[in-house]
Amino acid sequence: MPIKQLNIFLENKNGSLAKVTEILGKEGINIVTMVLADTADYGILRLIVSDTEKAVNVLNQHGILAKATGITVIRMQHVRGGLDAVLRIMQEENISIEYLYAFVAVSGREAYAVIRFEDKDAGLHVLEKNNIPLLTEASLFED
Amino acid sequence: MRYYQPEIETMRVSELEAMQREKLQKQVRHVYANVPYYREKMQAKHVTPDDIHGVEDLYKLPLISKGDLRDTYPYGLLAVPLKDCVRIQSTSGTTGKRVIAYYTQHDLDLWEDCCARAIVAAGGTNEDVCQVAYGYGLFTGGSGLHGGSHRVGCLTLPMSSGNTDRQIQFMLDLKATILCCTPSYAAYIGEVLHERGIKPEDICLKAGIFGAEPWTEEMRREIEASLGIHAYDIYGLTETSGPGVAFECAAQNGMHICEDHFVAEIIDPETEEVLPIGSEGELVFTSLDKEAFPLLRYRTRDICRLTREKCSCGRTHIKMCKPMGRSDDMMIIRGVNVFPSQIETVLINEGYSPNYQILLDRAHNTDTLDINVELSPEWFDDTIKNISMREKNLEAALRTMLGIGPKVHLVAPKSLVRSEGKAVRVIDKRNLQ
Repeated sequence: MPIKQLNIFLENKNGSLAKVTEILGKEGINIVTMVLADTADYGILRLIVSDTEKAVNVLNQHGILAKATGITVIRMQHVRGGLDAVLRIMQEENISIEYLYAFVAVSGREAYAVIRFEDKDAGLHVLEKNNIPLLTEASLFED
Repeated sequence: MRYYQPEIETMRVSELEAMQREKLQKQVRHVYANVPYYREKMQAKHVTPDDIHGVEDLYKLPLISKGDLRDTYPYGLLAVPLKDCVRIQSTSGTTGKRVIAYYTQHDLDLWEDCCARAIVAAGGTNEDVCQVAYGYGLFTGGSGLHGGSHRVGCLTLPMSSGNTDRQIQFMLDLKATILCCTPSYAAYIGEVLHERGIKPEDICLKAGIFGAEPWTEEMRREIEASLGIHAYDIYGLTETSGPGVAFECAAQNGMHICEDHFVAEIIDPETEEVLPIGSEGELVFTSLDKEAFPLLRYRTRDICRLTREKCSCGRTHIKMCKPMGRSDDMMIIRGVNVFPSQIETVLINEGYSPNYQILLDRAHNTDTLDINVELSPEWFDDTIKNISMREKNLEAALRTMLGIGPKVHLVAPKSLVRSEGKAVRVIDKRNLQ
């Protein structure tokens, strides 16, 4: 199973982020990693959580705009230059990246980069061609 | 030169009333004979021109409003053969609410006379250099003051609005003495002059004639100080002809209505009952001698008050105060008339829910228009690019409809307040009253 990303539309209002974490906490949903993209008026919160489907449902029930999208997560050795090596390939292959964020596995040996390609198919093709491994949902939570 | 048409502007009130009586009878007969739309409305109220002897009988006539003008677009209210018309003007560029006014040469003459009176009342003579920085084109501001300036014999600078660098250069090089524009543009020019270190004494301006949007006494004082001038208010509507229906004199405490051409009434906007002079209510105009586009009892939706006190300027014509508000939901933003319903139409056409909120404010003496619109869940994904593109597209669609550019903010679905009764769609922080 490919990894799902939880996307939440947040207005720039006091407490809107806390409301999300409160709901997720109460529902027993664990946050693996997250990143907030902000503008003057609103933000888009992107998270990887333990149960994306459930998170979307409970957040929507609370009137929060949330949606799940498939996302590419690659596995790298958690060493100096690990991400650079991947990005160098992307640049050489002319693959555009919309956004990227990264986190380190609990073990500390591996790191994961969450990547949104402008052209997903082209991105995946380049990853495969260069033997860059993908993280699957199963391996993410067996850790 | 104290008056442009002294015999009319200082006419004894009794004579003025006799003149109005005679002109009104003629105007009503003209309308009844030549405009089926009015005739049918009058017949429905069982009124004929024979029932109208003078201003005191006006209440018998049906009221008309912008809706009537739109329903009869484009030529339904035309009262002369089209070949006798020489010009059209139109209300600010809005698809749903466009109103067209047509003019014979006689109609243009009386309109320009009114504007000439306003310029002379502001101290203008044929020695002045009059910078007309109202928009030219369909908007009545530019052509009205332009014509008035010609009549007075001023050297007329047909600048139109915008291009502030050039405005300032001409103001300095050609030694403009009178500035005609919207009050917010005058304030903006004042700011730019200040930024460039140009002092009021460095320019030759002595007077400004400012209208087409609401402004306050505070703004008047600011503009007067920043430009070193006396600032005068002017009032008018495309429907009645354009600016100059009423204008301020040196007394600066109300605008004299050109009563030889227009009769004003104040009505209760709810009951439509005519209120006595001095009451606050909706201003209603009847034209007295227009040929192509006469108006009988046109509801302006402007709330104001009339006074017939002796004026220190010597003019006898009745005065109206600055409009104090509206009896409908029309907003005047940067001189452009905007209805919330127009915004609603665009939202629906573009596939948005008609839940929105309009925020009006002022920054640097210019109106700002921000519109919060609810984002549809199906348009949300994980990128900001997608949302900002939608905002830009909606801004472009609104600009086309309204004629002015708003800033659109997409907000979370169902986040805008829904009230039980009338939705609070407009938050006006401009504090113009």
